[in-house]
Amino acid sequence: MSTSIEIIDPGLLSTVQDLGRQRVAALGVSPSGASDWLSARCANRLLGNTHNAAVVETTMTGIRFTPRQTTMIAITGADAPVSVAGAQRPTWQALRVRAGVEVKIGHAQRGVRCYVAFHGGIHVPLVLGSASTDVTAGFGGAGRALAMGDTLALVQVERELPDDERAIPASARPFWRQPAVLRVLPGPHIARCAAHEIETLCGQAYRVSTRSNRQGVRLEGHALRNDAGFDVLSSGVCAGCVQLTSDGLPIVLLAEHHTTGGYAVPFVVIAADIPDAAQLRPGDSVRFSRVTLADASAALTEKTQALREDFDEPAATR
Amino acid sequence: MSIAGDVLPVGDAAVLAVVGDAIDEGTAARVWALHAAALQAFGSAALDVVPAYASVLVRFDPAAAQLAIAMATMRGALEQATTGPPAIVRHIDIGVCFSNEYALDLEDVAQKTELAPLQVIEEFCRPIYRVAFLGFSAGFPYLLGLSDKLHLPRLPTPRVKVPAGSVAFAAGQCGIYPRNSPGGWRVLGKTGATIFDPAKAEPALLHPGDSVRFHAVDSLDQATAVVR
Repeated sequence: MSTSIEIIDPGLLSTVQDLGRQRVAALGVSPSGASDWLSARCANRLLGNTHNAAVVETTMTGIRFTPRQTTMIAITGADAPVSVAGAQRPTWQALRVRAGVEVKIGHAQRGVRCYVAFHGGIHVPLVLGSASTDVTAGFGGAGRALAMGDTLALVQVERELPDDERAIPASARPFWRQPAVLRVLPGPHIARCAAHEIETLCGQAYRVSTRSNRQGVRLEGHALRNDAGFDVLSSGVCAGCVQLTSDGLPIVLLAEHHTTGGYAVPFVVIAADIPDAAQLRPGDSVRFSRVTLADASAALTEKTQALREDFDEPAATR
Repeated sequence: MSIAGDVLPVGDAAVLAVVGDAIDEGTAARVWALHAAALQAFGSAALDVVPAYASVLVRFDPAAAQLAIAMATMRGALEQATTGPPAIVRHIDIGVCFSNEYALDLEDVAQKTELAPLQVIEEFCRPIYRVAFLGFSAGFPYLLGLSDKLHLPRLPTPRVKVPAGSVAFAAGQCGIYPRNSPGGWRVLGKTGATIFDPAKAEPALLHPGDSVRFHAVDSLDQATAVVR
């Protein structure tokens, strides 16, 4: 019998996500996928799932759900209280959950998005090669944000439920600091900015706007003034691009970004720090820090260490 | 023949080749050629190859490839790209209903361009458009060839919801909204044709390089697309 999960309360916004769509941006289709790809991968790693297995991404207010059959889950990402059948349980750890009990993720204390992985991963039809929900375009995942009463089927796997409730070491989890620091490398339009403008961009702590979403993190602060504006001929963009909007304030693009954009991109957040950008919450303080390519590469190696160590190779789940 | 262009870094996970700064067919033809050459040069290392009016972006996995190598590969693609007449050009005829309920900005455009509404429609349906690229949202085609008489800036305040199928223009650009979405372009009419369907083997109705003509029809159910 296949296992399924019933959604009791999806919170503010919960969606099914894998690591996103590839090779379809030329059709105008956003990659989408888990905003904090590192937390999603860690959750799957804890259960021995494939790294691209579909998980649930929650937003700020958590989620409540009940597995219909006994299964294993792992919750990572934002710092939020988790309870199973009313008893408090840890995050960043594999948890055995009995059939019919309620799992509750409460309000995030730090960060925005939690990731819930299930033994085997969530089974949804792939759209353009991915299980990810594109909320804006209205396809993928459950075809929309999860709603009360939705049932998610899990991928059936041959292997037994692991009985160890293994954890990701505390040293490999995000550490929350204020102001948050996003390390950046040059973007294609860095030459459009004068030295004093780059200084303004990197010298101040911005505040995260309430208008942030899965498409991008909008920042508020001291705006750049440029009579020529910061508009450019529309060109391709990717997650991490720091766009300068017409009002002189930056947006950091996240997973569900438009495929092309007409704003100048002076900087791009390094791949290793996109998970940190995805966990910024309205009111948080953040600044940009320029680094070298070697720094970016070392940061990626360091942050993905938990994905390589300690664990057995995952069995194929699909 | 190779293409002249700048190759620029986009952080540690993408590179951008810029081959011009104009919205015109000559520039677009260079982009189409570079797009094909980049697909060839990067192969499976490219997670996405994204053409636009005058540039091509290639996204890659920074854990598997280095920026310096990606930049060199992109320069190689510029060398290898061959421009010339495409082997096959698809022609697509698209019916558009310009009745009042769909022509949200027709009156206003007529006033601003000092043309009669019928003349605006005629002027809009006259050119043979070319699809430059798809971007912004799933399947949204950016069309080249808008009449000079219809050059108006974007709406001062974008609409929260532009209805799906809306045929619109602004700032020398022209396109069709595949689904309901916010937008700041001036809406002249609506087509009933499906512009994007992710369930289809060919999800997008239009592809870069396609030629497109609009014609006026009386009702939305006649406003279909025919690929010739």
